[in-house]
Amino acid sequence: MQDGAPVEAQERGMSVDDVLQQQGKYLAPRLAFEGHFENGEQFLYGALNIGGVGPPDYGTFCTVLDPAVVHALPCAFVPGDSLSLYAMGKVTVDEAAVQNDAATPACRGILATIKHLDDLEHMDDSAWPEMLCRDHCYVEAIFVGEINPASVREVRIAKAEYKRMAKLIIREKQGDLKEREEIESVHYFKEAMKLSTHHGLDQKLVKV
Amino acid sequence: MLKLLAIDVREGWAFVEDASGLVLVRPPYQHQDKRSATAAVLARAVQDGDFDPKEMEFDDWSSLIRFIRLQVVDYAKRAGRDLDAEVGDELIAVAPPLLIEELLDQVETELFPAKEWAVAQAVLESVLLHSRLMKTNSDLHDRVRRLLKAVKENQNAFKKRREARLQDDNSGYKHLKRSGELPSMRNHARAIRNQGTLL
Repeated sequence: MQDGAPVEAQERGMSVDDVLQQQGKYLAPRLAFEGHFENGEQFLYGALNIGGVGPPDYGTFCTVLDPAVVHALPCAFVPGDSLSLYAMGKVTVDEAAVQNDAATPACRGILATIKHLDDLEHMDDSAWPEMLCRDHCYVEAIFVGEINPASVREVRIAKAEYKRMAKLIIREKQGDLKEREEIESVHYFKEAMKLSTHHGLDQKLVKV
Repeated sequence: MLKLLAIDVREGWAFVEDASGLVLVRPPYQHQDKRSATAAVLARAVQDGDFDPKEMEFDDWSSLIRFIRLQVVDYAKRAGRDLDAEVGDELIAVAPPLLIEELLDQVETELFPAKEWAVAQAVLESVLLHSRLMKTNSDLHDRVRRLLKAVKENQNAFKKRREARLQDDNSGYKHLKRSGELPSMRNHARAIRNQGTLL
């Protein structure tokens, strides 16, 4: 699911300003896309994921929802980023394309297979998670409904992120943590941990 | 054009007038964090003292949000909540077992071989003092204690080696004195000093 800018910035080693600037670029098409559909402002977005932490663009905190919860909600899958496919650089939202592409939860596997038909032929199945869900390439899930901590199956955090945080703590003790961005990234990780504990998600944190 | 009308610098919430009208935005400033608001709500928020009135214009959301974030950080600094202070200890306090384990791994595999005993001690004592897991996770607690013991043993061994070296130096000096070679060694040392080189 989509993360906030500070967490995203921390995970990608970008400044918060850069991330916000990037969001700014997408804000108008996002509003146009959601405004095109009834209750569009209630849309929630995710991605089909069969392993790993998903696209680093959205952060190394990867919240995995219980499939049973998602499938009980109004939900559609499209073969890529909905903004890029149907709204960016377009005068109006390409509704015909949305109707043509969208798949129900039951057909999500078929949608993914059609999308990656060429890749599957020459790719080992261990590489499928990376193939299916990576930067700028994923099967997007659009759904409506209430998501709460009980809907979460697990929160995946990259092994590299744990290593980086431990390294930053040690550097602070060495008196070597001086870069503002690094200090902020420790701060945001800490805030994320506090929130996860507050919502009872600390037991669902996993390292991948 | 966006107009910032009021801001709560403690939480980063703000009333903004955009093309759709008056809206209330809040962190993390994603689309779903924007709600429409009324002038009455804005007036009440300012009146109650929760929000500071502003009148500033911005070209786009990114510059507006950047401004709000700077205000929040400035407020935090003024309130003595500087992000720099003890952020490592604060993270240790709320860190999950996976992070504490990783931290201990790095203490063992990086700080120990580099003989950075003082840093290792600081990290381990911080975990012992701040981590909430020390009360609930006996395995982790035992590991921290074990590592801390190893640090202290190594520090003591280092001290002993240094003292022994000093004693050796002293005994060398005493030997020269006893054997009567001290004056000639002094002359030799002076010669080297005057010459500025051993060669």
